[in-house]
Amino acid sequence: MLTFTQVWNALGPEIVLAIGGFVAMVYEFMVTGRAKQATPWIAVLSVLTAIPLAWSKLHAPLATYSIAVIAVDDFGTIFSLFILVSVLLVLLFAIASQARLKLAFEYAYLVLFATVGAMVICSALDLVTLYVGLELLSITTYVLVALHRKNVKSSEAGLKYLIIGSIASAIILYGLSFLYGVAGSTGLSRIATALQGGYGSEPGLVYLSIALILVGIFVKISAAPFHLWTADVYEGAPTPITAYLAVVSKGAVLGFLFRVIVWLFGAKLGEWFGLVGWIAIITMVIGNLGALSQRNIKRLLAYSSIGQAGYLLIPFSSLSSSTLASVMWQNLSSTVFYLFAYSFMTIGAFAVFSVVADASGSEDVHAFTGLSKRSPWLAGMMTLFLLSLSGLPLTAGFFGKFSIFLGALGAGQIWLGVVLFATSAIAFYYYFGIIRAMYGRTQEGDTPPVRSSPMQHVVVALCAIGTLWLGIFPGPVTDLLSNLHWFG
Amino acid sequence: MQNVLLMIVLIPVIAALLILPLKARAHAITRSIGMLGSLLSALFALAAYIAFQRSDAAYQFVLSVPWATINNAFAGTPLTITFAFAVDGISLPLVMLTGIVSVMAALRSFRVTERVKAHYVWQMLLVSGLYGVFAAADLFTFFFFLEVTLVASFFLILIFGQERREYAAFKFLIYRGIASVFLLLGFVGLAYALANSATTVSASQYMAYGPNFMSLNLLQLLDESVKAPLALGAQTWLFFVFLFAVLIEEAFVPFHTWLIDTHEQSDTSTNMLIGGVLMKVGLYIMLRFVVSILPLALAAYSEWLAILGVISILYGAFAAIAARDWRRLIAFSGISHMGLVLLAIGSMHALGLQGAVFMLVSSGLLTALLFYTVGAQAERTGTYEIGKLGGLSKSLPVLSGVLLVAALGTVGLPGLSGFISEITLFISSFERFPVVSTLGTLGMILAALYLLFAMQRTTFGPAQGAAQEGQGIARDASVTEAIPLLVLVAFVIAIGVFPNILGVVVHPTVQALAGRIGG
Amino acid sequence: MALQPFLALGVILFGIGLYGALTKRNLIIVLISIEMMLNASNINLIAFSHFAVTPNANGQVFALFNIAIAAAEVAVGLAILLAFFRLRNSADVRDVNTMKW
Repeated sequence: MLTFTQVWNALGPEIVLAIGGFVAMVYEFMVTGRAKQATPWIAVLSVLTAIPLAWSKLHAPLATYSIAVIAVDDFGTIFSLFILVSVLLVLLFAIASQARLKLAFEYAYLVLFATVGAMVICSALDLVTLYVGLELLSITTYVLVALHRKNVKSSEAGLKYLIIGSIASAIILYGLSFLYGVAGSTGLSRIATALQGGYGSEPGLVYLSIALILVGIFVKISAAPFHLWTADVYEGAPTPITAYLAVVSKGAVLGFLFRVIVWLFGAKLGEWFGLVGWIAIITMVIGNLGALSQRNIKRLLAYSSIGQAGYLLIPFSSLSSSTLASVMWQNLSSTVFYLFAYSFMTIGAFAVFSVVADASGSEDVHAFTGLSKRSPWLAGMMTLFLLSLSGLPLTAGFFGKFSIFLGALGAGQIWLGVVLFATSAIAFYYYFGIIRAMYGRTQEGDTPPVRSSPMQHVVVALCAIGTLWLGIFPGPVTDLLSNLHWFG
Repeated sequence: MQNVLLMIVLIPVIAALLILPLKARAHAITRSIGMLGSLLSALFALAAYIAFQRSDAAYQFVLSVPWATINNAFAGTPLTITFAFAVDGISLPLVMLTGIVSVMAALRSFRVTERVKAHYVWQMLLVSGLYGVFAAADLFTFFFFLEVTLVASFFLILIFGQERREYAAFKFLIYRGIASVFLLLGFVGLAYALANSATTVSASQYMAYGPNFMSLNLLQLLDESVKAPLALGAQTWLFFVFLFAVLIEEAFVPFHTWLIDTHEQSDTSTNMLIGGVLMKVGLYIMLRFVVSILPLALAAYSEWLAILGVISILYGAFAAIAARDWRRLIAFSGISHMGLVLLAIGSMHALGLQGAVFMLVSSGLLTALLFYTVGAQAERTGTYEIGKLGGLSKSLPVLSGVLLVAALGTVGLPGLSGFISEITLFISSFERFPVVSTLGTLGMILAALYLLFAMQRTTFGPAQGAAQEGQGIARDASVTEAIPLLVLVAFVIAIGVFPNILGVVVHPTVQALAGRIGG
Repeated sequence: MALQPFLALGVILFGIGLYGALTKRNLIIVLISIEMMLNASNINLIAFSHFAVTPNANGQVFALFNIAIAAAEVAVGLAILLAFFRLRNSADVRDVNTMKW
């Protein structure tokens, strides 16, 4: 029998978030009027409690803390930390834009539940737990996307996301069912034993299973050619939720990918390298080319996030093409580093965008026209995030891309690195298109002043600090990452 | 003196930070801070120039600050990235050039009346980036400052350019962005290849370098490349990656269009900095990385360089003949002269390399001078079009005189800086490529043709068109305008008459460099 | 009985479900098709759990979880569909077209 202590050791942060979610839910039912505004703060509070708990799990001995269905290893913990930090920023962002967006306060606990799911899939050791976590994340995000019930775009985006996401989940589940069939167990370690570092006794079924899981995951992280839903869903969802989808969902599913594929097929990954590498290349190219023709900033950022998914697939495909342990560590570190960088710059860009879009009532590039005059501070911050997204030095984005590039080089996959930088050069065009609008042009007629609340400034400033910190002093973070014992 | 390079790079940044919180209307104080920053930096550059050990070919004023470590970067060994500065006989003259041109550009920017603050902030950042590029002793540091120049120039063109500024700024950004991608690829490839070749040598070298194997530090890379030279195959592909980046950076044919648009659309001080200094960076990359670390590939493909150089020389010259706009003419003339430098590098001879450095400095000064003068003329007459100008020697004698000096210097009149550069450069290139060099000299004859023809149209002959209308209000150069002109002219003459003030610094380094390529 | 017929049934169900989900115009049918895909997995799981070398209940437990999750998914799906229907007065896939570039 499990004792509570064992469960707490394994799932402490998740438990805190779940309790926080229920408290927020009950509170939101019970109070009326202005008191409801405290609901998101309960969520913020529980995330703030969960972060030190997750932090204390770093370097915890795998054997002592893990239970049958959850592994307490540094891989899961560092992904949990990434998720928690991003969720904190998203929640603050949502609170800051509440005055304008008028989101239903349900979002506070829905975000928490989704986050529990996201954290579970990064550390689950059992197919059932994995799938439950994945669906917890997916189903709550369907609701979150469709949160604006009176808004056609929001409902449509929710519907689209629901259909595509459910199909992807069903495909993944179908793939998982074969794994169970081959191994006779749902535990990942048992399955790994049954596969004997290869494809076990039924290679055909295992091939099919890997293919199905990969397809489902590529849909969920919007890798090309499974990316078509992304722009529509990102455009229709309320902006803080878009940030959540782009950062937390994508990062968590990437964690799922590493956990399942590396854990089960680590030895055989070399055979799949070509496929994943090509998917990464196609994703980078399509994402960045697609962004060129977008006028709506939200769609532009959606395509840019497809491109970023491509960058994030590079370490995954590189780590599979070499048997050197050091290559694997480097690629894992670069993934996590880039995820943190991506979180800060993406949420920051969305936060500035939402302020600007609210001020001018338009989501078009023109909303940014002459922003350097109307609000030099916001224009400067947006420039910072865009420079980071395009990967210029002294920002988090550059260092992240650079370390991904080094990982690919170490694995001998120089072409992936070349495409990474070549597509970044394409990305210059549309990122600097926004900068041009902010600095180059002046708006005719009366310009609506950009009103922004202190809370919005806090979110933007936090993201800016993160972006600059990872860009200027990456040392502590890279040291931390290199000292991790990834899978115990 | 240890930190002198750091000071040179940091002062403009500090000036920019001081300008940032000022009020938008505080023009006078903004201008003084900008001027002071440029001047102070240039003085430090001068101090470094004087304190430099002339007989020593090695890097001096070395300063290295570790910045970040990527563990497991290369075969399980960590990569330490440093911010490192150092100069030798090739980079120090270019640092000095940056100092001179930046002060003149800051003076010129006094004429800017709109968005003064933004102008000075970006200009200071550009200047800092330019200093940093030449003073860098680490591939990462180099790349970082190159990107600073990219962003700063982009904003300068975008905000302060003429009608088609957006187009020009974007063209600038995309072309140079792609070039910098290739450059980064070349840099990492270089470090990676050298790290690879070093592991295959001997245990004693491993002991010497310690576990810190992959390095981006230039001094260490140069050291490694001597002890364990790269194989020809690795050198060849790195050579082509660098060559492609340089062709774009330097706007060699067929990648020249971005430079023409940039020069046509930018304001004068930006043109001075871009045309005078930034356009020397590509060839500096050639000298710094290709000649010293990839000598085998250079020897194998030096004819390519010579031919590419001559194509640019001739194309630039013919296009300059056809140019009707002064800025276009200067831009093409610049491309033509940079082609000469490529030819000189292709000659693989100490004298040729020395001529190349001389040419970079001389062309930098003359280009800045030309842009300054035609900018000042256009301010009075309202046009850059050669056909609409005329008879300016009567109304604007000082400016016209300076323009004449600049044109003659560019043409290569003995006694001015252009002559000494061209003569050393051609002596060595004739030795190796007689036919190609003959074509190259044709370019110089054409230069005399187009520059003197344009000169003649502008300054002599009857006053006409725009110049005539403007004559009533036209005033010759004021004192603040005349200072930069006279200073630049003084440097041009000084190098022409006493080439040794540059030569003593350049010579030992170039000799050592030529030793690597067997010249 | 052997394992193969069950797996074949699973494949057929999954195929029909995927086809329906991707081609049908009525959103309700699309949701039902997705349910079929999920149930294909459940059949697989239960069959595997029965015919495994060492038969165990894991698969059946997994299937139970799936049923609960599928119910939640459909509930959410119908709720969103209802909201959409109120706004657009339609349950047709072709009307999900406000956002295009």
